[in-house]
Amino acid sequence: MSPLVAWLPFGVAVWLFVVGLYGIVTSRHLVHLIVCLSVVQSSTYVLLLAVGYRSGALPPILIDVPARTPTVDPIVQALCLTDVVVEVTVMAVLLALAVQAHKRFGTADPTRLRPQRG
Amino acid sequence: MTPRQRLLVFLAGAAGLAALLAWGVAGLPGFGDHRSAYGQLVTRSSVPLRNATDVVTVVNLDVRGLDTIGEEFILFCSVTAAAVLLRRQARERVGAARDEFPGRRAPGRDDAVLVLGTAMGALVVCFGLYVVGHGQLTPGGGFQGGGILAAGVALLYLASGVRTLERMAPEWLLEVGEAVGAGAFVLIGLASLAAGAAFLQDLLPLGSSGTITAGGTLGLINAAIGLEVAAGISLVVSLFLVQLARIEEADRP
Amino acid sequence: MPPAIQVAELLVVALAGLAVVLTRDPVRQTLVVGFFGLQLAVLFLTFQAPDVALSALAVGSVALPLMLLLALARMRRQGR
Repeated sequence: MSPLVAWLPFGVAVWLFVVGLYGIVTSRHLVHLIVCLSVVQSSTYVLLLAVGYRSGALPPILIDVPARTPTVDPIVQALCLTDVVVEVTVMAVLLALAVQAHKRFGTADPTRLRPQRG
Repeated sequence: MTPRQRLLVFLAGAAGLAALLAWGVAGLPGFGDHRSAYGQLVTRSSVPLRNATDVVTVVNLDVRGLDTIGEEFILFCSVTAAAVLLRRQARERVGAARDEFPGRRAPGRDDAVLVLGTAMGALVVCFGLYVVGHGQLTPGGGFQGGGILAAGVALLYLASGVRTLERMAPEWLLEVGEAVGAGAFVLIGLASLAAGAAFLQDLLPLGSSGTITAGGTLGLINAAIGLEVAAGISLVVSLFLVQLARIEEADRP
Repeated sequence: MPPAIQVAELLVVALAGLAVVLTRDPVRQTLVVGFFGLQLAVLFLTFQAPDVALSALAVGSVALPLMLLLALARMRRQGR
């Protein structure tokens, strides 16, 4: 039981990635598909923060913290932090594409979109 | 390909992918055992070298500042791409802003909603400015504060409708804000170069730890990023609003 | 060995992620993804990452659902 629980954070990251992919593959609506992509992306945050975590350590905010107190890794947090915000604008691009596709084809179902010229 | 076949192909692929990911993850150091020399070095030096207590901000804006400029320009490019995709297309025209559409009646606007929503929007904007301003001291900074500021703008729209939003935060203003924010970060870096130091090197007085001037240029960079993120996200939201409320098919000539 | 609160929050996030994917109606999914974003923020907090939690909270539960709803409203308008 114990090693399984110790592995759980990484397991959840893998789970979110695969579940999100399942949603993308079986999606019948472009907006649903885009949201599933955001689930896939959130798995990377869980993985990175799990890698940087250190048992019993404090967050990397050094206010009233004695010197040499262990803190969790600030590098992975910095990586996640910017990406969380940038992700939302990337989602906006995808949503804009979905809106235009819906205008042109009259449907948001990816299985009914046909290749089109121009 | 039928949905069933597609699902079968996916299941086979996903099983393989999950196995590969599990294999890769099994090779990581155990959860909670992380020791990174880099991370510890940055953590130990951020107060002595920069007087800044939020190590994450130091990493983002100083130690890995160039990376963050890259991230920031991903945001800039995404907003630009969304703007291009959401502008008026051929055979469309920009009509008057409408709050409701045939067959969908909007609920009447309530004074209580307007007053409470505007008051809360103002509070959220103040909180966003606080988070941007104290990024080098406590959790927060330009990215988070910018998101909160954009939430304030969104609240303003929810409380008062699309016409008020267009008057208070017009598109040109958001575009200028985004461009100035993105440019200011690069200019701060170039200013260090012009002064004969390394790109983004901190040349301002470092203030004293725990005060708002701590970290020298970190505060300025946070302000630039906050402006860009707030304007960028608000711009995207207002572009979707224009797309919804104003853009309609033109009558055939 | 993760502390109990982390284990609980990880399980909540795993289930919320599944719920997001299995909610096929995009309008309802907007609500579910807002909840998912909120739980992610709590998870990041238990990982001792308040900075990331704050940014996940700011964009994941406000900006993203709002954009989704606006895009869906535009599609619905087109549909009639």
